[in-house]
Amino acid sequence: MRPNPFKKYLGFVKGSFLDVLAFRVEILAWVLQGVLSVVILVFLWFAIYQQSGGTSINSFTYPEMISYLIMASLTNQWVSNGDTFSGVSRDITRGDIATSLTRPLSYRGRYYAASFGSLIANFVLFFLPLYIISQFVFVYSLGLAWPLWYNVLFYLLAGLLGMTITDSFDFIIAQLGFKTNSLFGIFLMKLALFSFLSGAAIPFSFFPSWAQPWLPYLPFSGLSSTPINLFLGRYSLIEALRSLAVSAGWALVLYLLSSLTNSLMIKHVESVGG
Amino acid sequence: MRYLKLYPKYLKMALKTKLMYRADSFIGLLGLVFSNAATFLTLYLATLPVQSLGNWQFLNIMFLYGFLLLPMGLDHALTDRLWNYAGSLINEGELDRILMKPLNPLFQMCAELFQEGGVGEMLLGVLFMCVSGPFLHLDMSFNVVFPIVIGALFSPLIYFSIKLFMMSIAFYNGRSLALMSGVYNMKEFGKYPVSIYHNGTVVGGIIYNLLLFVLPFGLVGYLPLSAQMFPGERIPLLWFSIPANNYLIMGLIIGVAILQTAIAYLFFLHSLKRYSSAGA
Repeated sequence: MRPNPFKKYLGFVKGSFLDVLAFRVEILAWVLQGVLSVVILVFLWFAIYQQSGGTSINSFTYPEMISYLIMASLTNQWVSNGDTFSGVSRDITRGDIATSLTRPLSYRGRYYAASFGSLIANFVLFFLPLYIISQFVFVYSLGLAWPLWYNVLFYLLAGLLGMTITDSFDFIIAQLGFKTNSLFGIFLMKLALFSFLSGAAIPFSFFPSWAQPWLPYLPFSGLSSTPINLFLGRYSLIEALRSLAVSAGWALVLYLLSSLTNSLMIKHVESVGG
Repeated sequence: MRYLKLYPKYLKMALKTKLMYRADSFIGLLGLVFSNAATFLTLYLATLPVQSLGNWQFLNIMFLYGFLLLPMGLDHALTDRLWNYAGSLINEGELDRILMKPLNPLFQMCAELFQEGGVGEMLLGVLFMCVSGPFLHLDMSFNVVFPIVIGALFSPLIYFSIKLFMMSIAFYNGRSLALMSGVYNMKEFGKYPVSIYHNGTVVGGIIYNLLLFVLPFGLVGYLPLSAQMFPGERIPLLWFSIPANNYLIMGLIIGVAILQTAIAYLFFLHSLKRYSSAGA
């Protein structure tokens, strides 16, 4: 019987799942921070809509805007919450990477498996309960409709692709640790760039008109804009399929790129004799 | 006074470790500039369709944002080492090294690191103020500018004391990074004119006053600048309101800053007694 090649990665899925469970107090504090930032946004946008007089700004009504931003914060909770960036940079600065390489599995694959584990844990522990509460708020307090089942499916699929994109990015960027000691600066830049260009901070329709046509085709849109717009049913079927295809394409390209840089990096480790 | 002589020596040491890797310092400087630029651009795109929040035009908001970056950046530059202590340094037994020396432990903890990103923030702040300032009709008379400057000199203490208080919790359980980050990041509330929270609702009223007295991030920028930009308008405070007088606001800032720093420092000293070595 052939052994299952994925079985060895299962341990990492389980391990990072349990990690999230173990640090739930810590993570609860991060979640609270997310909730607080939503409170700021609710007030800020309330003031903006009050000022505008009209009901809709750039094709968003106030309830739609709030639901968009809450979904952005919740999506972030399970899509972009892996440990790959800090894990890889820790391995590099502490030199643990050498021992990691002696194991009979792919270093890149191992981190992807771990991210998948924390995705499941974050989804079940934090996303689901917060989402259920938010959904009731959307329907009973903001007067929005319940989501359609196929939009929910699209959302989950897009989120999974988004996780692959962000995880591959994190993996690639963390390898800059070989070149610089200032990974914290790079981490901040990454965070700022991702939250701005993914549509997590503000929907694409608020961007200048010259930027709007190409923003959905950048890889960042897969992290927030695509899943959220799919969930809220703002896309037609054609647009939905097209945006999912864009996300899938980027996920594939970036994953392959991260594997490629990984094999180049391993050569680098050998050359410094780690 | 011994500390005034020692600080330049610590600073020199901290800068030397930074300058070993010049490119790294530059990246560190850019990191905080990037995150502020992203927050600011978001704010710009959000207010673009309506041009203003209440009285505050976009340029007023830009000036406020730039003004806030000065005390925030100064605090970042000088005391950011506290983040590392809240994160893992206490668990790793680093504090033993500090406690061995016959110097104030807090002084040593802060002086160890110079966060160059804070300088980047201050530069960005000056840039924002220079770009927006000329378009605003700012009252530049001595009796307005002087109290604003004096108040601004005390405001880094507000950021510092909140960090110090939250970091001290790590003496109890070894780690307080998440909590510290959660409370400290309430500073984001202060980047908008806090009048938007004072919208007549109960929750809004509570947030507004919390931002002026408990986590006084609104006190630092919003109060003095709103008195400068909109003289003659009364500013609501708790259940009453005060006239837009910059000396009054300066007094409020100094009072709150000193009180908070005193509380945070006493809590730091108290918690330090609870510290037991990692047992190395």
